[in-house]
Order: sequence, then C-alpha cells, then structure tokens
Amino acid sequence: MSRILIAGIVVFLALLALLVTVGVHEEQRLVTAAQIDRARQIEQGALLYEQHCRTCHGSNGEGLGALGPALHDAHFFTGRLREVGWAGSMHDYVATTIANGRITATRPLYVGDGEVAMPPWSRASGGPLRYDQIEALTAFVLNWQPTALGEVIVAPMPTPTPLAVSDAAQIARGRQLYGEAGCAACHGDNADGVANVGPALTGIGAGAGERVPGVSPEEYLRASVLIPAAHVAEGYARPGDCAAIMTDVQLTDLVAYLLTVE
Amino acid sequence: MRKTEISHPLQGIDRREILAWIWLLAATAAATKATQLTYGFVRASRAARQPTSFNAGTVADLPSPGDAPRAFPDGRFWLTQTQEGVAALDGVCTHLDCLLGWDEQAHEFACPCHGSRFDASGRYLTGPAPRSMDRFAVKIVNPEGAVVASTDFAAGVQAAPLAGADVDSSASLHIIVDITLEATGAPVA
Amino acid sequence: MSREPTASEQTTRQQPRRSVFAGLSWHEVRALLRGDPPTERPNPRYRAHTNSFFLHLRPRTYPAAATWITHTWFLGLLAVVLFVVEFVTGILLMIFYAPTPEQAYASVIAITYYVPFGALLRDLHRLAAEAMVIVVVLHMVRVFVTGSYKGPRAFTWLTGVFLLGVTLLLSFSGYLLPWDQLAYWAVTIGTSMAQATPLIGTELNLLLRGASEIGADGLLRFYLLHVLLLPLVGVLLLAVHYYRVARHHGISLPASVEEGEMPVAMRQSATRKIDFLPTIFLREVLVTAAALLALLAGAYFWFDAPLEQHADPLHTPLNTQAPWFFLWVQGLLKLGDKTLMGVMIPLISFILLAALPYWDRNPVRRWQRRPVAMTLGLLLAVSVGVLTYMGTASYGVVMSSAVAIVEQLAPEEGEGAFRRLPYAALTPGAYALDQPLPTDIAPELRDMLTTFAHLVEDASRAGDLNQGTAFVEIIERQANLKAVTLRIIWQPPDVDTLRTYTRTIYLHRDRNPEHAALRP
Repeated sequence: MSRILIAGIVVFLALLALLVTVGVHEEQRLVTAAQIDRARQIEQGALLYEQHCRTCHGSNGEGLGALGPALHDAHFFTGRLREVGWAGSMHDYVATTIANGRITATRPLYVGDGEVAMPPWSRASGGPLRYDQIEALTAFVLNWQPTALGEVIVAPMPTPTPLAVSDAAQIARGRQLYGEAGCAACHGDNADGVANVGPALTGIGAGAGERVPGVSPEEYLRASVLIPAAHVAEGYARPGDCAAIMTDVQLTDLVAYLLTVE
Repeated sequence: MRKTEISHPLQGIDRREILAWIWLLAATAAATKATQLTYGFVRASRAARQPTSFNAGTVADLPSPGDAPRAFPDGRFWLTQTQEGVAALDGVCTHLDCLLGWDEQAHEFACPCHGSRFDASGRYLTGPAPRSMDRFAVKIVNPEGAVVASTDFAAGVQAAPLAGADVDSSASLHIIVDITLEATGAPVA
Repeated sequence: MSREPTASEQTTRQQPRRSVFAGLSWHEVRALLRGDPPTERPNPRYRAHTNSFFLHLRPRTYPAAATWITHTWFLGLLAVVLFVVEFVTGILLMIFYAPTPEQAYASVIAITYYVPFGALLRDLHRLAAEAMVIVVVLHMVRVFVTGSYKGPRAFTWLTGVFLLGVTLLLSFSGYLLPWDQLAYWAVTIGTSMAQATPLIGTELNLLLRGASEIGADGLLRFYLLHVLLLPLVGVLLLAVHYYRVARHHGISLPASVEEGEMPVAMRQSATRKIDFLPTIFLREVLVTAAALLALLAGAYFWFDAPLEQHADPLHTPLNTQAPWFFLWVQGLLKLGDKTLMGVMIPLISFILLAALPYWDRNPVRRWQRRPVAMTLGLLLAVSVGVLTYMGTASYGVVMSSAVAIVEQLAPEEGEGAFRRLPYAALTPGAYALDQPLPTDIAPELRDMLTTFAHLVEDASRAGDLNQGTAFVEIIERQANLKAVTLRIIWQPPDVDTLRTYTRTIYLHRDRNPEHAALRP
C-alpha cells in the first residue's frame, strides 16, 4: 500500500518538475521559434523571388535598367516610402505592392505593356501567389536591409556558370523574331551593325556579361530588348522608342538568339 | 444453469404480430428514405471553378517529336508531339492520382508515389499503374477560329494530326485543350 | 463577526458520518487512503459504486489474476488514457486551428511558432495519436495470445476490432488538417484507394473529397470527421466495449488459472477478490500518471510533429509516403491492382479479423496449445512487417540516379545532408567536383562535397550517368542567407548534347537552431 503511494509521489513530482521546466523555457522558445519561422519565410521567399521577380528586379535585387527598380540599395530602405507617400510600415508597403501591384511607376520609365507599373501577384487579384507566399517574399525582400544599409557585408558572388543555350529550334525562332520585330533596322540584317546607328551584336553573348557589373548577359539583353535605352553602347546615340512588344516566350527566344549570334 | 421452460409455445401468427411486422417495415422504410435524402445533402458538391479549356500556345511552340513534353501545370496536363500529331496527356497518374513528373535522365514520366513509368507519348512502361496515361481532347484552330485538326475519341483518333498543317503559319495556329473531354489510356495487358 | 451556530448546523456537526464523497464519510475516506479495512457494515465502499456515476462504471472487485501486469500489461487502460489525451489536446488545438485551405497551414504555423506551448500541444497530440495506434494493436495482440476473445467475449472482440478501425481512421483524417504537402498527397492517395472500392467507390471518393479533387470541401469534411463524427463513434463503441468488459464478463482470467491445473492454494490466491477502492484505483492513477510523464517527456525532448511545405495541388513531392500505419497498404498497392490490393485484401483481412471468434471455434485458450492460431497470427504479423517495408518510399520506386543523388543530399521536403551542415561551414564559391577542392574550405563542407562527388562517380561507373560530373555553387545572397546549387552534368550515350540536373536550395542561418547564434 505504501509502495504504490511512494511511486505515485515520485511520478507526480517528476511530472511537476517537467511542467515547471516547460513553463520556464517557453518564453525563450517563442523567441527562437519566431526566428526559425522568419528564416523559413526568407528561404521560401528566395525561391519565389528566383521564380517570379528576378526577370525584372535582377537576380540580386539590383534592378534591371528601368524595367524594375533596385530593391537592395539604401535608397529603397530609406527613401522609397517618402517618395511614394506611403504612411504605413515598410513591411506593409512591400507586401501590398507584391499583392496588388502598382498602378503608377515608382520610376517613370517602365514600358512593360504600358498599363501598370508592376502587375499584381496575389490570387485575389488574379496573380499566382498565395497569401503566405507573399509574406515569404516580403520577408526575403526586407532581408536586404542589413546589406543595403552597410551593416552586413556579404561575400562577392562567384562567377556563375554561363547559361548553356543549345536548343536550335529556339535560336531559329529568335532569329526570325529578330527580323520581324525590327531589330535589323538599326543592328543590321545579320546583326553586324549599321554604322553610326546601331552597334554590331555579334559576340554580344560573351561581351554583355562584362558591361555592367552584377548583371548577367541574359538579363542585360532582356532589359535592352524591352527598353533599348536601358544600356547604351559607347559612341552611339540614345535610341528612340523602338521597344519591341512581344510575349515572354518570344522574348526568351530572342535573347537565346542574341546570346549565340556570332 | 437452470433450463428455462417455454411456458407458451408460439402457435401460428396472430393479428398483433402481423401488425408488429408491418410497423417495423414502415419504420425501416421511413428511416431509409430519410437516410437517402440526407445522403443527397451530404453528397452535394460545389461545382469546380477551374477553367474547362486551355489555350496551350501555338503549333510553333510545340516540342518536336521525341523531345520532352511541355508541362501545363495549371491544367495538370502535358503537351507532346508524336508521329500521329498533338496529344494532351493528363498529368494525373492512372494509379492513385499523384502528379507525374518528367524524368529528364530516363526521358520518361515517373510517378513520385508508387513508381509507375510512362514514355514520352504516355504509353505504360512499368509500375503498378493499370493503364497508359489518359488524354484530353485537343483542337487546333486558325486565326479565323476554324478548327484545322482535332482529336476524335469516338473514332479512336487520340492525337490532333498535324500532317496537313501549314508550317509557315504554325505560329498562328493555336492549340486548345479541353479538359472536360477525356479518353482513358490503353489498359496494361 | 461571530454568531452562535444554528440548530441545523449543530445537528450536522453531531453526525460524523456525513458523506463527503459518493456516500463515503470523511472517516471512511481516511481509512481508504490508509489502507485500513472498512469502518462500517455493510461495506460503504461498495455503496460508492452505486452512488457515483463514474464509480458505477467500474466493477467493485476484480479477481486477483485478472489484474496481473503480465496478463493485461495495462494496454486497455493505456488506450483509454491516450484517447482522453487526444480529446483534451485536440480541443485545445481547435482554439487556433482554422479548417480552410487559405488559413489551415498558417494557423498550424501560428500554433507551432507563435502560440505559447503550441508546439508542445501539437507534438503531444501527434505523439499520443501514434502511440494510440501502437497500444491498440498491442492490446489486440495480447487478447489474441491469451485467447481472451473466446466464448462470451466474442462480441467484445468484434467491437475492439472496430475500435482499431476508428483509431486508424482518426489518425488518417487528422493527417490532412495541417494542409501541407505530406497531408495533401497522402490523403489524395488514400481517397483514391477508396475510389477503387467496387460499386460504391466513385461515390465514396466524392463523398470524402466533396469534389473531384481535395479542396475546401474535402478539408472541411475531413475536419468534421476528425473532430466530431469519428470521436463520437469512438466513444459509443468504447462504451459498448467497456460495458461488456466491466458488467458482462469481466477481464478474462489468465488461461492457466481458468483452465485449472494449478495447486489449490495458488488458485485460491489467484481468484481472491481485490477491491477497486483503493487498490485498483491507486494502481490505475499511477499508470496514468506514468504514461502522461512519458508522453510529455517524449513530446518535449524528442518528438517533433512533422510539417512540410504548404499543400500544392499542382506538384507531387518526391518520396510521397502513406502514414506509417498504412505503409502496409502502400506496399500492397505496389504489388498490383488497386481494387484487389488496395481495397479487397485489406477489407477481407479486416472482416476475417473482426469475425475471428466466430470462425475460430477451438475452445482452448493457452497459446501453447493453439499451434494453428499462433502460426497464422505470426504469419499475419510477418506479412504486415514485410508489406510495411515494401511500402516505404525507397522500395520499388525507381528514381533516376541524378534525381536520387540530389534528393538524398538536398531533398525537396525535410532536412537532408546539406541542411545539417553548420551555416558557417558553407564557404561561398563555385566547386567543380572533378577537380581538386580548394584547401581553405571547412572540413564539414569538404566531406560533403567528397560524398557528392563519390555518389556521382559511382553512378557514372555503373553506366547510369555517362561521364557524369558534379558542381556545387554556394553564394551568399543576403545577410545570413546562402544559396546552394547542386548540378549534375552528364553525356547520354545516344544524344549529342549534354544533360544537366540542377536544384537550388536556400539556407538561412537561423533555420537550424543548433547552428544559429540566437540571442533574444
């Protein structure tokens, strides 16, 4: 009879001790857990950024010409809210912009399809992203703050392996588009350039990577097709409004052609 | 245990017993009907909101015969070009509804759940799947909206033939996939 | 303010035997706790079993042998304890959970990361659910081995097998609720199996999913099954099951006692009656408390309820696997036709199991004298074991070697080798693994890259990845965020162009709390 009571006392005291331990550590756990969750969101946001945002804002948030503004610089984190007259927090500004897009450009040069500066991305507005994905993207974009403000310095990027362009059919389609979209008028029928009008594009796939630091050849060409004035070669005048209007697939084909034109 | 004696053996069937049986029958019938109506309530499912047909690009965008099929994740189908023409393969595995992935290395469809495999034209290769991949109806329309070629499942035409299509105008020929019309794949022998 | 006691209060005080609990006087309660014999006649402790609702559910006495630990292992009691734990933790989790596709995952994230004690409650709920499956199965095995399902206990066994079914269905329906990839695809497979049922399959599938695919309706239906219908059925079945044990036939005596063959004195001591109050009661409280302690410690120190990424109806992750207690069905499914393997065989096994006492007419209870039953039981256990092994994701699902290697090191879901590396060990750089590695990289990373190179080399040598080479790029993308890209390039023998398989994963320093410099 006494034995069972003693055993009961031991078990209850152990249970009490465990519960006290749990209670004492919970506050610290919540701090850690919130950090883990933020880390999880940033990781997920990085994947989504690569998938959906990179083509306009650059792989590293550096912005692509006038196609999309930079998201990784001090101006974005210190001046943007005042610029657009946003009264709320940075988090809300970024999340709302991703979800609903922006009707007017933060930078006036965007040519896109001539309607909105940035398309809406939330499902409610016809975009592909869920609410939690927008939150993750926001966490990722906001994580540029420490480097933008110079608090943290990250290691420079190693040279990425160049994109292997091997699809002959794609290049052929790009070649055809080159003629149809009117590129030849300034850059010559065989992309060999027209004196004093447009530079030769032969070998641009190899050279484009060195023109602007941190911008890959692919991104350089993409921006130049959409906004011919995005990058102007030395010795040539700023081109007029000859931006091509084409679908995303066509744009990729054309860039594939330009990357390989010899 | 003490043996119980039956004090009055039942003889024949009397009026009260008949009534009791009818009583039971009526109660059962009413309960069955109530269950049936309840089932009608529970079963009601709201109509799916997803679109029923997809514009899957133009003939010029098609993968060449033998190339990897092109994925259309929103419609859960893959577009492929075979010798017979354009086919839209249902991306849902015929085994247990997992979504097939494209295995670049083996050049086959592979099911991530139970390992069934299909070739680029959707034909069954291996695994527990009971039949080849299912196919959706495909129409190819010209800019005027006229149907140039189409599948005809009733006649056994499972791919929209491209034989007559004009290669030069291929960029203006649109492929329309109707995911409400489906032909089941050939059962595994 | 003091006043004189009223007359009625006077009388109460003069009655020392006033009831304080279920008709027991304070005096009697003390005697109970001291282990003294009853202070009155007739025994007031038996009266308590009439007066109190909860005590009336319990027998007044047990024959000693029926309570031997080596006979029951407390498994029935433990199953009930776990069921109650599920009830309590489940109701608490319902406070924060929202059963819609838009909110379900976010609410589970909130419970896990932001609600005080939320992670512990979710771990407890999941751990107790898995323990319950094990305990219920062990309870059944115990009853089978001791031959306790025979004779008057046939119907009790039948209700028990249905309780096992309810336990499995409860676990399975709970699987969908977090609305992560694991949930979505495991349940897609499960309901697709239901579709294979002859005649009613399509209807059953529609009934469960609420539409042709699992969506808002399906989630709500599984939620209602999980929190309402199945617990209700479970409680009712449990009531029937326990009523028969407590009031109809009692816990079986061990076969050695019941079938005689022991000295009279020993037999007398084995069948001696033990009062529920206080002996059995104290013992049950002890077992319950010990079980709670074990559960709590398990949930707090070791067990983490899994949570994968948000459900994506447009992408099935690799290595999708049924819940472990249904792996044997997944194993059957790999063998062939889903109607036969996925529905008919499990269904027939279930019916045979439920009807066991009706077709096993052998009256002998001792396992030593039931060779046929024991062989069949062992055979069943072995085949479930083998089928479970066959049901695991790695068995029979052929992944291409490039995908398999990358999946092993940096899986789509779950942790994987690269994620386990300390954050600081991920030295940024581009590493071509067919060339000598730089000398200044962390040893952990060196080991990992060497492993990767060996895996690709082995596949290359096996003729799988012709001239396969591996590349790894580690880029510091942001503060505390690195991108790790794994790439395998090979030359298929019959094609001119090189083929590549690439996957990029992102690693944040704080994701792995063991590596992070976490300060409040």
